Amino acid sequence: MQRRPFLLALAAPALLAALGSSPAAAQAEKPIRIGMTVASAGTFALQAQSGSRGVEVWIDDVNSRGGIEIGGKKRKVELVKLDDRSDKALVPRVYETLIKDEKVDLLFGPFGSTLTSTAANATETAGKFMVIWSASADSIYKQGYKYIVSATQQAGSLLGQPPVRALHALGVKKIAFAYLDEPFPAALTQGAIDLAKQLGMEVTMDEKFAKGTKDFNILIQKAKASGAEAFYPTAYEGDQMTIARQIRESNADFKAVVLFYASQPQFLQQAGKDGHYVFSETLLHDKINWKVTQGLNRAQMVERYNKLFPDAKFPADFQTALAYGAGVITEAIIKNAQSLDAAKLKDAAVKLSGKIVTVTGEYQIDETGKQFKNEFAVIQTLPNGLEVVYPPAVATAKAVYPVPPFAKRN
Amino acid sequence: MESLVLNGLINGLIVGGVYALIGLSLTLLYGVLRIVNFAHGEFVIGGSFLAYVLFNSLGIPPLLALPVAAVSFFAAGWLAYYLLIPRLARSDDPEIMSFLMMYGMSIALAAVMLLMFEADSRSIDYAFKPISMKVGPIYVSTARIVAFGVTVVISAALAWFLYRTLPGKALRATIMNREAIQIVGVDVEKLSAFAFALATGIAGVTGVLIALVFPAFNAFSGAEYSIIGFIVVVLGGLGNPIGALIAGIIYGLAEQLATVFLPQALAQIVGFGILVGTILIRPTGILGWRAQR
Repeated sequence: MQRRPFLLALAAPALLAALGSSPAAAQAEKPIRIGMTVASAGTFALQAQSGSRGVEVWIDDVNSRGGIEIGGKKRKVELVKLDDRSDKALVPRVYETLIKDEKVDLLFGPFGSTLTSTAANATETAGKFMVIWSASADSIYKQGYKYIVSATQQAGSLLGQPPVRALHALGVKKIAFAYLDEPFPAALTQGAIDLAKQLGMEVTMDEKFAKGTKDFNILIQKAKASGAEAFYPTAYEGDQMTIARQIRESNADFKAVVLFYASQPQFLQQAGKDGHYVFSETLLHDKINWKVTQGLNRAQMVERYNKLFPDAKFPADFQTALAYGAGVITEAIIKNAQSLDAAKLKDAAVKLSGKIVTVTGEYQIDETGKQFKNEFAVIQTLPNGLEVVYPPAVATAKAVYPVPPFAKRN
Repeated sequence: MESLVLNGLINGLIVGGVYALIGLSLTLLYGVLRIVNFAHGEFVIGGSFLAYVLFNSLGIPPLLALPVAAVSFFAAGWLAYYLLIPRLARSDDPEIMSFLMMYGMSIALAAVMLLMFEADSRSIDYAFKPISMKVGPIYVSTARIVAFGVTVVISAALAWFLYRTLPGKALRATIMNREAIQIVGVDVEKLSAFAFALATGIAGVTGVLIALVFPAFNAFSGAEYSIIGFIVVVLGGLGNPIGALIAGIIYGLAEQLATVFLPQALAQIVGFGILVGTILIRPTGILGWRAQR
């Protein structure tokens, strides 16, 4: 665990804000301490760090407004970040450290379903409230956990459905699925398969692959041989870059390809032409602008991000937005609960369902904490940039379908 | 199905060639120095990052990065040898110490690459023209064909070096009997440094090929290639360069064909099945008998 640099980095906004106000006032009210883990390395590092910057944008905003009012007194927010190195075996221990040693008041989940499912065991055992900003696997919300809430991340079984609806509307009848054998890709794909079948589409392939798979060539050929018009493989960014390259190299001309992360800045930067005409999903695009009821809107959030992180390697992405939105929801929950007690926070979270719109959309949960709204929009990467192609209400262009064969592309 | 099998065979051969190079350099190192190099995968990924930097900073295409990687990694290996290995020889149990040191080296190298390139996956946005070629009924990536060609050339050059030149014969003799070769006056220290540098140079070149064959890599991809290297070395016979070449091809073909007939998730199990099966049935590897002579 690399605690010291993380603690220094995370505390900077809160410390600066505290120095700006009178020392007496800063000492008067104890800050609300929020703990979370962020991977410095491994599979989830990129997304975890994008998300962590989103939380810091929220903290900067909330502290610039004097903090959150509890019992008539404003309390600033302090973030305590520790490193989980994308290691699910390490996560429970680090969350225990946050709770027992760092004595945080409440927690934010780590990135992704794989890590969050293990973090939830630790937070529930300690009776602490945990705000989830990225874990979508439905299985997490079936465990009977009392103190978890997915503030912005839609349930995995729903998350993969917008592209299926979009493809169905475009006339796709046969679709092949492949997914990394981990909770998030598995949940997303299962939901997408269920919807495809409901819509009368033929699922020509449903195959999972193990973590560490380096070569997807045969998998792509199997999808092609299955007669699929559309191919929908789901994994994390590195695997998706390889898949995009290998689809192009093997001249596998599907009418449409869906890669969940293909509109992320990192993917666009690294994949280049491999990503052209690929369909993907996002919550953050300059043409997706929700009328927010709480917190900053998209443009304001991006502006604050750029101000706080001028040297960040990548611009704000949808992980940033999910985590920022989760911070906004957390603020509303604490204000309504007027307490940091886990049961009271959960109660307030459920009562707020359907009443908040943040940068990522509408907030709607059930008693298990599962998120039903915050639906992603479908993006297509065209050679001249990204366009929103679904749902029609926010679409900025008509989807290119079928996509041009590789032989006819520049 | 026929085209899938053909695809599996062609890609198995290509991927196997790359695995063979990883195994070849690892087995050379073990044969000559009795060092189990846990950091070998990191050297390989270091080569991938070198190609990435050369392409993105200087516009040098991956094919031209090959000689740069060979020379720079050879030099780095030479330096690393004199910095690390003589100290190992002074320990009570050099072989066990090499385990620990190379494991530490693996972590350190991955951390350095993380510091330099951050945690996200990298890919070289470079494509040969045409990007793929038709081989019978299937398309094969030009990058893969090029990588296979380079693998064949390197393997042939190494075979010629090991079996037709005096230093090569000396290297093989060192693998067979390190003590005996010293009696006849060979400078084993210099030969060992050369073997370490050669293995590191091959690892660097293999890294460039990996950037072509498996497009996305990151600072922590090295461990996966170390494991593949160990499987190939065990299958081919410890310290046997020809065995490593054959074993790499067998492993690549087995992995790819398993993907054709089995769910992709089971393909990795095949690799470990081969490792366990070899240890149980033929612990000396497929060409192990030659090493025993």
